[in-house]
Amino acid sequence: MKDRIKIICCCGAGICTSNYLKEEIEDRLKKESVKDFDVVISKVSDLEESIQGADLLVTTVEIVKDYGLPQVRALGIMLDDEAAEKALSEIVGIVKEKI
Amino acid sequence: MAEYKKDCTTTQYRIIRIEEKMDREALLAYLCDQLADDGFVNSAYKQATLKREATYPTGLATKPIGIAIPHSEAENVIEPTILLAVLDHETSFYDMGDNDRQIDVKLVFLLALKGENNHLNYLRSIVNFCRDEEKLLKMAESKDDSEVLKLLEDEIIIKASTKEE
Repeated sequence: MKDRIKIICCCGAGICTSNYLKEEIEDRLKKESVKDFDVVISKVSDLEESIQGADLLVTTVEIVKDYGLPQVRALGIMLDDEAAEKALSEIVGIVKEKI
Repeated sequence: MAEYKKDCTTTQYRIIRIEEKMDREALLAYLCDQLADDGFVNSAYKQATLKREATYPTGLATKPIGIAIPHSEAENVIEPTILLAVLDHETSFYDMGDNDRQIDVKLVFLLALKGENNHLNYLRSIVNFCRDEEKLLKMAESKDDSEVLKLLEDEIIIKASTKEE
């Protein structure tokens, strides 16, 4: 049980695709009536710091290191409806388990 | 200097047709040089964009043909510009989600933009457009540059720029 869920969206530069994921995730969680969450964007090179206190890591790029928290590879959100649905429902499932 | 058009914000855009077969690095270097020659990016832009592409590739496995959206930090951008390269010959880029996988690309959207919102609006429009297989194929296979420019304007530029604050 946590009061607030922290989700990290990560891409190479932390400006482009991570922002895209952030909006999609926020929209979806709001639809699912999840309120107490924050989505923070990060570039890969800042992950060590941004990952502090996070509950879930969502990425468009390949992350080799294991940070010991759930990871979702979500490039599919940008590519086709089916892959988007799969990634988003996986994210919703993980978030709902934690609240 | 090549002719650029401007959208209702300050972002300018143009298309460029690449008839010659080039590998990824040569192509990116050539495109960055175009922007630098026109004074829209500084001298560090090319190196930063090439380095970024090598570390974090930007190929997207859209269907039926891939695209790439190379971009790098805003600090090297002087005037926000989108350069769309239409390739007569496919060029392989690495997949953003899987560094070991190569994708055949026919459209390269080089984003020389400032600010996160700016990137996001254009990215969203580009991705939405490219998820439509029919439209994507039409743009990628067209031999008519004015048709490509019109598709870019009607389907991507206008939709992105009207979302800007």
